[in-house]
Amino acid sequence: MEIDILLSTLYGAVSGLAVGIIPGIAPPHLMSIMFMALFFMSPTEVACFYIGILTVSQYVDAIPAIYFGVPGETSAVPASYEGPKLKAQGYGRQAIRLTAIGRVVACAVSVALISIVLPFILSNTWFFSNNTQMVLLGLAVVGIYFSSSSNHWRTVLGMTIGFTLGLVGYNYNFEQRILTFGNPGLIDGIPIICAIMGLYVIPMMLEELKKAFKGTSLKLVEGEEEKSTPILPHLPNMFQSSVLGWITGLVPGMSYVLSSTFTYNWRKKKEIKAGRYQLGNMPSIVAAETGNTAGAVSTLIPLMVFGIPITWSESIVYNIMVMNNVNFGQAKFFYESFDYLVMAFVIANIIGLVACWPLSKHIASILNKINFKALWIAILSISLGVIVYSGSYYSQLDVYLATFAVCLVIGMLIRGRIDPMPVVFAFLMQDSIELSVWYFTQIYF
Amino acid sequence: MTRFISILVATMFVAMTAQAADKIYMPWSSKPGGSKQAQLQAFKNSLEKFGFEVETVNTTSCLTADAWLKDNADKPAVTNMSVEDAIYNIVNPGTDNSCEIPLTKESLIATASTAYMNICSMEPDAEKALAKFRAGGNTVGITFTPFGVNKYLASGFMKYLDIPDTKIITYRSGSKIIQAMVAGDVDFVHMSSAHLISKAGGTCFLSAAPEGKTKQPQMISLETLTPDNPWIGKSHTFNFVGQNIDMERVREAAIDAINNDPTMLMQFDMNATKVGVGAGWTPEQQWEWIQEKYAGYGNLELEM
Repeated sequence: MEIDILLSTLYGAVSGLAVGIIPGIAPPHLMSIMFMALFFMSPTEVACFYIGILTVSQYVDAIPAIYFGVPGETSAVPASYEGPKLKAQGYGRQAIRLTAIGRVVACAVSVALISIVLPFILSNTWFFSNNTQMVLLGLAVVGIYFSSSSNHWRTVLGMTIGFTLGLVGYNYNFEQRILTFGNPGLIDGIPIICAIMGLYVIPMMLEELKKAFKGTSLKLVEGEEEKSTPILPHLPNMFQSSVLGWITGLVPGMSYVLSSTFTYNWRKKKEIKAGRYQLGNMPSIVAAETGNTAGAVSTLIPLMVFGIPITWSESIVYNIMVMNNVNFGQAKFFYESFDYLVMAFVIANIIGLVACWPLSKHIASILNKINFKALWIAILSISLGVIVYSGSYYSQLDVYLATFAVCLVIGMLIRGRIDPMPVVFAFLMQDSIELSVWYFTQIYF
Repeated sequence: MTRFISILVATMFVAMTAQAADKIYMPWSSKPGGSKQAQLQAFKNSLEKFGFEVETVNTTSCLTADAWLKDNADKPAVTNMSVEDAIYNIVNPGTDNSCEIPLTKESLIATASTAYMNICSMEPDAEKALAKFRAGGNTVGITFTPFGVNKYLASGFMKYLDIPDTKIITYRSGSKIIQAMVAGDVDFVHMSSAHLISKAGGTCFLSAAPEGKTKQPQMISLETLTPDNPWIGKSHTFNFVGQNIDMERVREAAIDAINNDPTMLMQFDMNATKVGVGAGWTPEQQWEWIQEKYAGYGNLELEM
């Protein structure tokens, strides 16, 4: 058991490296590609894998942001704004070092905050009632809605499309088959892997491939000779950003992306007020990356304790865990897996720290040599292979290919018009949302 | 070199064919968290112990397992089918939610267990819980599966007790219903898996088991309260069934699971009764017993 947990954490950490440093890849993409591998893992292993991917990607996403001015992930946008200037001034490595230390502080503060808040939650059973879960789910939907990059009507349309696709299959509440067209293979609904790949992953990859063929590549920011700066003056900033990042990480839908943006703007305003701000501001980048890490940790609480995903990458993890027989009732999963989750968290932090600090220069040099055309073609081929393999594995290749094709058509049609995030989220959470409303109406009406 | 390659290919072919012969698919016929899937997991472990390669199929109900089996009618497969699901199909043939996994003399590997229905709550005092239950005005959580039948088992259970204003809330799985009970969403639950209730800190105080056959000391038999209640003795009866399999070998593995698997033993200890080939019956005796179960439901005039 321990060795499997360790291995899944390591897989997650290595995947997190890829997610953090390769611009364009986010945790949901990699989880979709590794869907079948995750299916064979226990829920605890899946959770540890996710902790690995999330933690390490947060650590290393500052590397492309600072060295190349390109964010490895959305949460590294502030770093990609301030970082290149710091690199040009000779403070690139210092920025990497300080953000790494900031992340360690963020992890320590987050664990302390969790240990204060959790006993209260766990001792109150009403936290696990349908009403509380419905409110949390509602907040997640609202959060996803407001964090969408499309306008309101398009977001509503996107969510409706996702929800409708989620309805396909036998509906246990209404005791009838919906949009199955007489095909028994659709009774369990559209396979998750086909929907995620078709609606989002493949269209996004085609976009990246197009960019690669256009010759858009990373360019290393040239800079002065490396200089050093003391760590101690940054510690209060790190602690404050950790607390703020942790709290904002709990905002459904936006989570740690909000954490990094919020802490960045908060620190930047303070620097402007003090008359210290100019592009390439070290405290602002440290605040953003520290807050980002603290937010990534607090984001995990609703998922691991209540089984309520508040980001769409968590909704993928949630679905895989449910398929792997997890029991979230009364925080059962959290209690049973607590030691392993902590172990995964510590290991992932160590790997992240090593990767983003001593190894950052080497990672940047590898990143500089990557052939993005070949990379995206390989990832695209693997993704399509995953669908064929999954369909064959379940002896439902026809259903997998047909549903993938339908979702791909929808994915291509909405590309550039509707943000795919709410579409996929609504698809993945349709069952949970419908169920909580169903239980509510049964109890009260 | 050519000869070497031929031998290698032939060896690989033989090895693959031999492996394929022992492969068995196992579509899950319920959501996780309940007795039914726990039994299938136990069966899977035993099958692997007996040299089979078991590939689980991620179906989540009797209905979806049925669809998979129909789609893969030529494949060797085993699953768990309850008598109650089969009853529903007899009453509702060909409807949207009729699950037609065959429970026949030919498909029946072994009856895994039969577990009486219970009423449970978070109240530790059985007498207090019973008084509150009988006073009415409560919500009672039930699981949806077996398809629709649970609704009738629950209302039948209460019908002869004259309980006023009781609302039945249907949940999707065993783990959801227990969570609802612990969180206070429902006052009582109607469930066969008393061991899962105990693990969550609840107590089952009333049982459909006939007098003297209740599994736990605090349980009151429905027979004590309403001796003429036709719902006395009503239980969930789970059966391992299969297609395209070596019945004798697979049955040996099933008997091993029933008699030795820790989860099965815990179920027998806490809430289930061992019947069928696992209890030393012949396959014929086992089938006759199931026929009697069918007949028992026939008298209840289920309006579905």
